[in-house]
Amino acid sequence: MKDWARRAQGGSIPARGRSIRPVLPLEPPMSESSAIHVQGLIRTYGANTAIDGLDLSVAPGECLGLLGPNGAGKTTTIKILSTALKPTEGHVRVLGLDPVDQAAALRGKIGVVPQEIALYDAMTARENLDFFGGMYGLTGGALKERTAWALDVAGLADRAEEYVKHYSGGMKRRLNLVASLLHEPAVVFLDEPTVGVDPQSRNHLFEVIEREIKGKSTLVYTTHQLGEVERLCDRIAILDNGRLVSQGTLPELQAAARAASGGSGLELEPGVDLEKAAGVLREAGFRVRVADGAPSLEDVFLALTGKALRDEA
Amino acid sequence: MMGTVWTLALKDLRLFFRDRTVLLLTIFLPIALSTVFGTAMAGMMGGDSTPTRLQLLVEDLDRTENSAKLIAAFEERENLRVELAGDVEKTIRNGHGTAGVIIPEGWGADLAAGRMPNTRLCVDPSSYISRQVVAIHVAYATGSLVLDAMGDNVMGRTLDLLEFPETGRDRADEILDGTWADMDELMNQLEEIGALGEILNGGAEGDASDEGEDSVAGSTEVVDDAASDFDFMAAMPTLVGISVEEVVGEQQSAPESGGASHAFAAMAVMMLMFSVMSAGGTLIEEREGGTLMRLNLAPGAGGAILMGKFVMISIVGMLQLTVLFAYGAVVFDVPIFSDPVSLLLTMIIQVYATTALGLFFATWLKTQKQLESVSTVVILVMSAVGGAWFPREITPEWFQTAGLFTITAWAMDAYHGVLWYGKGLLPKGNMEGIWTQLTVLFAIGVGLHLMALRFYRTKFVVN
Repeated sequence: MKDWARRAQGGSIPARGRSIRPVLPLEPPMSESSAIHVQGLIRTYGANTAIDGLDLSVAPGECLGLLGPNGAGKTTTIKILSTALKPTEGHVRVLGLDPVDQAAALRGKIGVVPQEIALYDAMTARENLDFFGGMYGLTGGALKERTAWALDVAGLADRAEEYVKHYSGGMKRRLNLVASLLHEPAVVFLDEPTVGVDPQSRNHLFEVIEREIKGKSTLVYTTHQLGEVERLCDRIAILDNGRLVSQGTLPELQAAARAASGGSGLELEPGVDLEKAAGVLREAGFRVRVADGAPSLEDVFLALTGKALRDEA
Repeated sequence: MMGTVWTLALKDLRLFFRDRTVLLLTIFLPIALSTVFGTAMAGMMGGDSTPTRLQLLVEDLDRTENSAKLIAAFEERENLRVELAGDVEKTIRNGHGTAGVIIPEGWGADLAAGRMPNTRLCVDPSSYISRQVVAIHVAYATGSLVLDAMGDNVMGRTLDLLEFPETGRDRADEILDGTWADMDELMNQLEEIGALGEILNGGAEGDASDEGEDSVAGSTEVVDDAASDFDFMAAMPTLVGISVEEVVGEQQSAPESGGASHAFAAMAVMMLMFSVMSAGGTLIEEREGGTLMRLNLAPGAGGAILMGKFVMISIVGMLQLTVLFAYGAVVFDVPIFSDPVSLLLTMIIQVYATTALGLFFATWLKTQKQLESVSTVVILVMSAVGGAWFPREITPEWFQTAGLFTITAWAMDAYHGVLWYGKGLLPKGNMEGIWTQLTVLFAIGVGLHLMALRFYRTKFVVN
């Protein structure tokens, strides 16, 4: 295992909780040894508050899904964590470093996959990778090796000499992803990395993330595609109006959703007669509603953030 | 069908009027440029506006009552702005004036004695318009004095200039000695045989002498090529004793390249601005495209990004200027090797100042569209005000003063100094150096560079 991967795995990944308990409000597992540690984070733009007292913690090697409606503060959070934006207030540490005062040191250890295709259209894939690798201090054989790795992982080795402007949207997205991984970052921020790609390219991106990053680096993943979070993330944090609404594993959030709807869920062992169990509960005085399966993440998301439209200015 | 057409047209009109950039370029740019041109030209062409007063240097070596009268006559011309100078030739050679009169010692005495006094008009041949206009005004002013004092002499010189045939000279002299009525009669007679018309129109197609031989004293017997090219307006100064001297350009290997030098300097300044603005726009393009964010997050890249743009734009600018001047040297004899060091230094400093201007706009404005529209207006106005389109000396004084706030004017002065006046970086002999122009250009560059840095820090990096 490479050093950077060992470094990223310095902490244990928390076990996925199985108990059903309300998670509103949920205290994050705060620790200074976390890969990411945020406490009381506030960011304002004039009179507008984009982040309003956010507490968040991500363990080394963990993949955190950051969900929220438009304008919830996801991108602002990622910008602050990745040194692209200064916080107004609050305590922030990434890999133990202050993103403001130790930005230069931190930048070499993190990777950001932006929403935009942040590549040079009039350069080939190889030229782009060589350039961005060079910006992170890679030279000579190391740069050549990492560029070859990136092209291979992105499935672009045979089209490495083509201008990016001739690539399909999916190819650009794949290149956009690997360009941020050249320097083997310990923490990777993925800001809606699959926008506008076809299912095949999305699947390829997932495979790359699962095979090449997950477990080796700490991941923070924002998206509106809830299925992506279900597939990739160990834990999910839901933001709304700049605040943390809930966080936990998917089962924890499902329980929270049930709690939010005013009831409690009951998971039955396989083979138990559902109607019989429901009858027993009714006789005992409970109001019983039988639902087929657990609420989906989308149900959870809507239950926690509401159904009102969030139109960004 | 028409309903659909109208619906589509309305849609496009709505989009058109909502696009401020297009609106600016379509409506306000023509107004701005027309205002600039109108202001500059109205003064020159007459009309209700205040006339442009062209600078006329005057060096009075005679210092008599008559020379004072001549200077007063110059001052009465509303299109002349008289400036007394200690050394007209030196002043013109250094590019501080395009025309100047030297009134030699004895001028007043000659006039008093009935002799045609010689008035020296020193001009810079590279400023053709100014030279022509000033020469005419000087001739009028001088003529008003000289004609009063010695009209006969003037008429005699006119006949000489016309290479009036000897056959008719006696008769013409008699007439000139007579009254203006006699002169009119002669003129009428000449007109009848068509000779005068041919002379005034610049030459006869056929042989006018055949018809003229039997006419009044055969006066048009020999109207040769020189006479047929006679230009009364151009000859006017000579008629009243003014000798026109081109005092700049003789040091050039190709004096005829004055116009080309001016044109290439103007193009160098204006086109560099366009290319720099375009290159500076890549900064905004990178911000809009997201690559700038990616670069900003690379360790140690922050401050280097703007500097990287600076270096790139400077290299492109130097390449553009080098190719342009090399072409000018080969095809138009622009004397780029008269002082290559000074020229190179001028190019470097102009590129620096212009690059700083481009990055100032690129860091100040928010979008590529804004940059395109604002830079187009700024470049065109600066080019007009700074003298890249027409000589600043033919524009109103306030217009010339406004030019001093442009990179264009200082860069043009420096290029013109090296390529036309033969100046070096530092003074040599009677010639000034171009260090003043380069210092001002450099200072403008530093100021714009600092502002670009400030905008970059507040708008492009982490905050």
